[in-house]
Amino acid sequence: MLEIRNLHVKVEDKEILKGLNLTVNKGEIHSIMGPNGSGKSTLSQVLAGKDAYEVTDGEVIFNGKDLLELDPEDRACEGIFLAFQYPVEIPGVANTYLLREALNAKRKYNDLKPLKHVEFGKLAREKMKDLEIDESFLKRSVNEGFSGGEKKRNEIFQMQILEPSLAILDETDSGLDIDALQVVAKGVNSMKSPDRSFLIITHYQRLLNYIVPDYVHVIYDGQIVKSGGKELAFELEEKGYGWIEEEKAAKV
Amino acid sequence: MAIEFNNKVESYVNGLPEFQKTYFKEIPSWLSDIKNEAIKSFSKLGFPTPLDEDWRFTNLAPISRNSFQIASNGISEVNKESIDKFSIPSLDCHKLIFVNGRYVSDLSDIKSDADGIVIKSLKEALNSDKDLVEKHLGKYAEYKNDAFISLNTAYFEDGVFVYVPKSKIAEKPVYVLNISTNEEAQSLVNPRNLVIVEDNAEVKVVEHYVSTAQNVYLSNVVTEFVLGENANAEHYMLELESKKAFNISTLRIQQKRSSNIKSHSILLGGAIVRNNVHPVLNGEGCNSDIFGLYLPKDRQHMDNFMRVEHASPHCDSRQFYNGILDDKARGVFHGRIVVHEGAMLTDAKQTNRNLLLSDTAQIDTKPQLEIYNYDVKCTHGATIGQMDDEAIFYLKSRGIPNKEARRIMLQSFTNETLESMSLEPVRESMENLILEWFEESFANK
Amino acid sequence: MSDFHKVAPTSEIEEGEIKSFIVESEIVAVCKVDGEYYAFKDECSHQTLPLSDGDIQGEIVTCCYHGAEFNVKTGEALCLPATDPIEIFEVKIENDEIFVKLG
Repeated sequence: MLEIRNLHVKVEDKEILKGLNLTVNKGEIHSIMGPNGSGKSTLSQVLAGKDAYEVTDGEVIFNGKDLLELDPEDRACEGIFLAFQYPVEIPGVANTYLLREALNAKRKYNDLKPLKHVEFGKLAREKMKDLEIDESFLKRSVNEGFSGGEKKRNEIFQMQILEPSLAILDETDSGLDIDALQVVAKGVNSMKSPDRSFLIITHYQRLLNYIVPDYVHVIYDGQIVKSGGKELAFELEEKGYGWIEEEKAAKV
Repeated sequence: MAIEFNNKVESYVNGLPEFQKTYFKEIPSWLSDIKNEAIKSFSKLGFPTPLDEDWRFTNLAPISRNSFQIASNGISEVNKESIDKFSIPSLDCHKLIFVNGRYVSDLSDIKSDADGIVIKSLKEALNSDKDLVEKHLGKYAEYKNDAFISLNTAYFEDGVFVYVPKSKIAEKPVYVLNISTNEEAQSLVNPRNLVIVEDNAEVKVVEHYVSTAQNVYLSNVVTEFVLGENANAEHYMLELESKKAFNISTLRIQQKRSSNIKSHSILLGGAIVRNNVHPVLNGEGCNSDIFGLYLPKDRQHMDNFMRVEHASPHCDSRQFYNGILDDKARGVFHGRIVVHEGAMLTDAKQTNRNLLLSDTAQIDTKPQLEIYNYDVKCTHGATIGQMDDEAIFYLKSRGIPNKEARRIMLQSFTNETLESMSLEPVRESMENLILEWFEESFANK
Repeated sequence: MSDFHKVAPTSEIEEGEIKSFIVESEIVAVCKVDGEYYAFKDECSHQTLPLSDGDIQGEIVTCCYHGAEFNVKTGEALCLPATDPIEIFEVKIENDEIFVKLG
C-alpha cells in the first residue's frame, strides 16, 4: 500500500530525512518511534503534502501512484489522512461545515454524489457517540477554544468520518491524560480493518498498550535504524533512546 | 441653471442661495440659518489636506480638485425592476428609494407599523414634524469643525426621517436605498438622515448605496441617531458605490442612559471611501457595538474613522473591524476612544484585523486613546497578516481543494463581523456579494 | 484601449515641466523628460502631498515638502523620507494628445 524508498527531505536547507525506507502493507499497523528532532513529524507532514518540505531524493508510492506528485487535497481524496500533532484553530468555520465539505470533496473525487444534510447529520452523531463528543461540538468553530484532549478527539472524529485507507497519527497521544488516551485508542481500534493501514508516530510507548502495532520502527537522525515487533517498544521505554544512539555511533 | 462646483471653495459658497431657491419652495428660516452657518464653516475649513492629522492617510485631492454639480433628476433611469435588482431579497421592510439624493415616493413602499411611528422623507418631515426636526437636526453632527458635515448640512436636500415614540417597537426595518444614476456631469449628493428613538423604543435602519453606472460622483452622507433611555437600535451601512465614486459618510449617535446601538458598516464600492462612526455614550450603562468590514481591491482606498466618546460611567463599547485588501488597494483604520472626565468604569475594546492578499496592498492602522479619567478598561489590538498557510494546509489535508480552502478561510474572517447582524436577509445578501468578491480575486491570481 | 484617458495636448507640457490633472477619480502628474512624457500618481508616498508642486531634474522628481525623490520612469523611491515607490501610469501619445492608463 505504502512504499517509501530512500526518502531525502530538506527544510530550509537543512536535511532532516536522510534516506528513509519503509513499507506498509494493507491492514498493518506500524508504529514509528524516535527522539525529538529525529524526523518523525517531518515524515508525517511530507506524506500529507506540506509544501515547506523539499524532497531532494527518493520516492513514495501509494497504491501504485506517485504520492509526491499529488496535491495535499488529492492525497486526502486518495485515502491518506493525517491526524495533526497540533490541530489548527479556524475561528468562524463550524466543525460540521468543515467535515461536510471534506467528506463531499472526497466523494466527488471518487465520483460519488454528495451526502445530504440529514444523512451527514446521522453519520456524524453516530460517530460522536462513540467518541463521547457532545452534540454542541458540531456547531463550534474548528478547534477554537478546544482543550488539548478535545482537539485530538476531533482529529479522530474527522478520521472516522473520512474513512481513510492510510491513517497517519502524529503524536496523537502527546499531552493526553489516560482517560482521553483510552477514548482515542478506542476510536482507532474501532477502525481497524483488513483494508486500512495505520502509521502511528509517537514519542512514548504508552499508546501502544492500547493500540497494538504489528511493527515498531525506530527513527534516528533521518533514517529508520531499527525495526521489530511490539516488544521493541517496551525495550525503548525501558532503556530510552540512548542505546540506539550508541549503537549507531558504534557502526560509523 | 445648474449649480456647479469647482476646485475653489468659493464655488461652494456661491452656489448656496441658488440651491435653496431651487430645491426648497419655502425654506423655514431656522433651517436656512443653519445652512448659511454651515457654509460659513465650510468656507473657513475647506476640504481637509494630508497635513490634517485626522486625514493623514487619505488624500482628498481627487475630491477637492474635482468639479461637481448638484445632480439633475435622473429618475427616468430607475424603475421597479432596477429597484428589485438592487434591493435585499426577502427583506420585509419599509422601503424608501432616493435617486441622486431625491425621494421617489412612487417607487417607495412604507408599510403600516406600530402606532405613532413616523417614517418618511426628511423634506416632508420639515413640514409635518417640524418641531421634532428642528429640535434635533444638526444638534449632534457638529458642522463647525468638520468640512464634510458642514458641506452636507449646507447642501442636503433630503434623506430619511424616522421617529419611534416612547416604548414603541418598529416591527419592520427601515430600508433606505440610495441610487446614483449616470449623469452627464459629476454629481454631488448629500443624503441627510435623522432617526429619533425615544425611551424604551426600538428600530433598525439599513442604508444602502448603489449606482446604475460606473461613473464619478460624490456621496456625502450624514446620519444622526438619537437614542432615548433604554432605547435599542441597529444601523447598517452598505456601501456599494461605483468604483469611481467617492463616499464620505458620518454616522453620529447620541445615546442616553442604558441605550444600545449596534452598527455595521460594509464597504465594498467606491474609489475613495471614508466611513466615520461617532457614538457619544452620554448616560450610565450605555452599550455601543460597532462592527465593520472593508474589502478594497484594485485601486480602491477605504478609510475607517472611529471616534467613540465615553461621557458617562459604566458604559461599554466594542469596535470590531476586519479588512481584506487585494491588488493595490489601501485601507485605513483609525480608532479613537475618548474617555471623558467622570466616565468611570468605562470598558472600551477595539480590535482591528487585516488580511493582505497581495504585496502591493497596504493598510495603516492607528489606535488612539484619550483618557481623562481613572478606573477605566481600554484595550486595543491590531493585526496585519497574510492568509494562514497552516490553516489552508489543514483544510487541504482533509481533501478540500485549494481554492475552496482559501474561500473558507476568507469567509471565516468575514463571518466574524457578519455574524453580528440580526437581519438575516441583509447578512445573506452581503455574504453573497463577498463570495463574488473572493471569486473575482481568485480568478485574477 | 478604452482604459486610456485623454489628459491634455502635448503642447501643454514643456520639457522639464510637471503638471497635475484630475482623471476620473484620480490625480495624475504628467511630465516631459528628454522629449518623452511620463505619468504618475500625483501623491508623494511619504505624506500624500502633491509631487507636482515639486521640481523635475532629469528623470528625478523631488517633493517640495520633505525632499523625497522618485524616478519618474520606474516610480522608485530614491531617498528618505520616502521608502515606498510611487505609482506609475502608462502613457500613450496619439494625434498630439497625451493619454494615460489608470491602474
